Amino acid sequence: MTDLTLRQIRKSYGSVDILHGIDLDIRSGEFIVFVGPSGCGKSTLLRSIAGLEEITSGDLCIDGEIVNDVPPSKRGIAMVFQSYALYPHMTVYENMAFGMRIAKVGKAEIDQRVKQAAEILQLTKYLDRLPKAMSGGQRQRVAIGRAIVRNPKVFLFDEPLSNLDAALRVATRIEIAKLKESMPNTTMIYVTHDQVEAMTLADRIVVLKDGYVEQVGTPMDLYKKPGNLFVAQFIGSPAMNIVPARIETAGATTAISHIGGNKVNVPLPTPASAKGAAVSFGVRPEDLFIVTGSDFLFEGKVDYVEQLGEVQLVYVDIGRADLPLVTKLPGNVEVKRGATVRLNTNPDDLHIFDADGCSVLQP
Amino acid sequence: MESGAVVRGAARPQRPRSLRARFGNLLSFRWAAIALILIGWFVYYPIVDNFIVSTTDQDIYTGEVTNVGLANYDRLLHDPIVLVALWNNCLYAIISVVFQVFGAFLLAAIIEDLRSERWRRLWRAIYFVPSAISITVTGLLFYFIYQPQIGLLDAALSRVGLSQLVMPWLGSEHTAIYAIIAMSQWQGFGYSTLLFAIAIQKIPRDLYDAATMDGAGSLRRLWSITFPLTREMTGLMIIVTIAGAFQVFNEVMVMTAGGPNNSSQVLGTWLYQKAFIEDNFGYGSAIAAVIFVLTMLTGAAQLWYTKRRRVQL
Repeated sequence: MTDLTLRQIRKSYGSVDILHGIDLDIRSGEFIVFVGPSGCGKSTLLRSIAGLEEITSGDLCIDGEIVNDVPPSKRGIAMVFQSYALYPHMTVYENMAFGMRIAKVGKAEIDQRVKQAAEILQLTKYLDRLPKAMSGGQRQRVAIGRAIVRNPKVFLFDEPLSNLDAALRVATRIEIAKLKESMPNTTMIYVTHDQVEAMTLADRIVVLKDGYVEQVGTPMDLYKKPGNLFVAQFIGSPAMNIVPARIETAGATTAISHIGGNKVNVPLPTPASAKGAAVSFGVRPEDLFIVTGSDFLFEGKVDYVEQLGEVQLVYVDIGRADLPLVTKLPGNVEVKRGATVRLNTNPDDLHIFDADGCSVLQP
Repeated sequence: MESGAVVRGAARPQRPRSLRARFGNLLSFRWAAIALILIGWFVYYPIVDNFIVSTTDQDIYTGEVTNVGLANYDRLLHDPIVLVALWNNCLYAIISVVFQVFGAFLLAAIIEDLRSERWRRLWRAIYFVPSAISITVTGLLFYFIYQPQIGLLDAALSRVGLSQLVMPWLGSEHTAIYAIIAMSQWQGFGYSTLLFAIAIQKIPRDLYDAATMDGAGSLRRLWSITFPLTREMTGLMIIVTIAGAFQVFNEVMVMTAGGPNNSSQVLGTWLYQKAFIEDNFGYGSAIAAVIFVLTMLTGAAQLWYTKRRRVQL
């Protein structure tokens, strides 16, 4: 059982700061996913935990012990790389045995551990092959096998599925989820920019942006209660619709009007001083629905329809080119391009953000 | 039939190949003809002619040509200077492989392991500069460095209290060839280092990270990752270096012309001596044929090796 604690982790390259004091507690056996856009520092953070990057300041603790100066191989950590990083001149067996040979593990034990991992990952018949003779998915399994044989306390994955095609990505994602289930005591940290991977795999997600942690929480926490505008728009596909708005009435319930002028009453209290404050108004595409009556929030023309079969994404022009609204409707609802539609939402599904982008009201 | 339906089993009608299609490949040779004629005339004809000349005895003044069969080759086998020259070529090859292949590999690995890109660039440049100087100029430069009494090397030895080592480096039968080989290493070392640096740069950094995670230290990474993954370049460099060692001429000619007492002769200078100084073209051509065969053998070995040991990154 291994706890991981990051205290004020900073990483700079010269004068460029990449990580700005990351604080994080990872509990033993957790599956943590670092997610964020390119350049947010998620891979740097992962490499710092691995020991492949020297942290500029702060403390990294594994089981309460500071490991800043402990070499990567002594941290009890194994890593699966984005490019697989298999040694091209070694067979699958040799790739998996390499670390143990360096650690001077006995031949019989190496053999037993490699064969056991190969069996779990269905690689037994490929043990004598070179990586170049294997498919992307098989190579990825070898990379995972190489990590498994080391019996790590912490498993690190650096965008392990990004080189696989769509179908294989789904299959490998499920394999990783099953692998985690079979290793309940092993802590896993997984880096991705794919929110589907993050949502489906994580016990908790850490959203990073520009070297800062934006929010930490369970996938549904982040989805239902995003802490700020960035998280609100980053988690969920298509992204949450954000519309500038103003608080018209503060009090036990809050009335908000958006740029189109229509008002909505949100069942949450706000202080009297909030009246007139500029806010942003967020609603997820699946929470918007077409209405025909006079009680509606937005009115606009259907600009484009993306039919995905089970659902369709309807892009509605509400008169602001910079604010196209997206709504996710069932695939069998007939929506014509150019038609005028009225959209409404349940007030409970609204997200309100203050002028700084922080979530102020969460029904 | 509905549009878009797939027709199965319908064989495409066979059309007889036109004359143009049949001879298209032949006609395309016309584009390569000029190059072929030039290569044939200036490369392959001289090679063939060299073998013909090597079976003759020619008098350059009278133009008299006598067919002597393989006599020149027989003479070559019994020529003690040819043995000295061949040994010197071999010595040249062995020392060059040690320094310009394995030494350069080590140096490149050390340079590429430096964290700072600025330092890496600086060291690559420092080692490469001698390679940018012509071998003839380098030969002349070292001719002065090796000068007894006034040369830089002897002066430096005297200055550091090693005057017992002071000697005429190029004037001694025991040291002349080594002095030339040393100069040659100085000149070629940087170029080999640069080639190895390029080969090392091609190795994905992730492999080193993976090896580090596996517990491999610097030496283990060098032995288990860098060395096997630059094997193709190493093989190529060994063969190019050996082939170059059998073709060496300029530096020996400039520094000792094969002396003293033929101690630093190599096949190239001995060929020159026989063909152009002693006007014995037949015998010179026989030596040239030997150099050609040795170079071709190393070239063939190169092709075989690179085909066998290619590692896909």
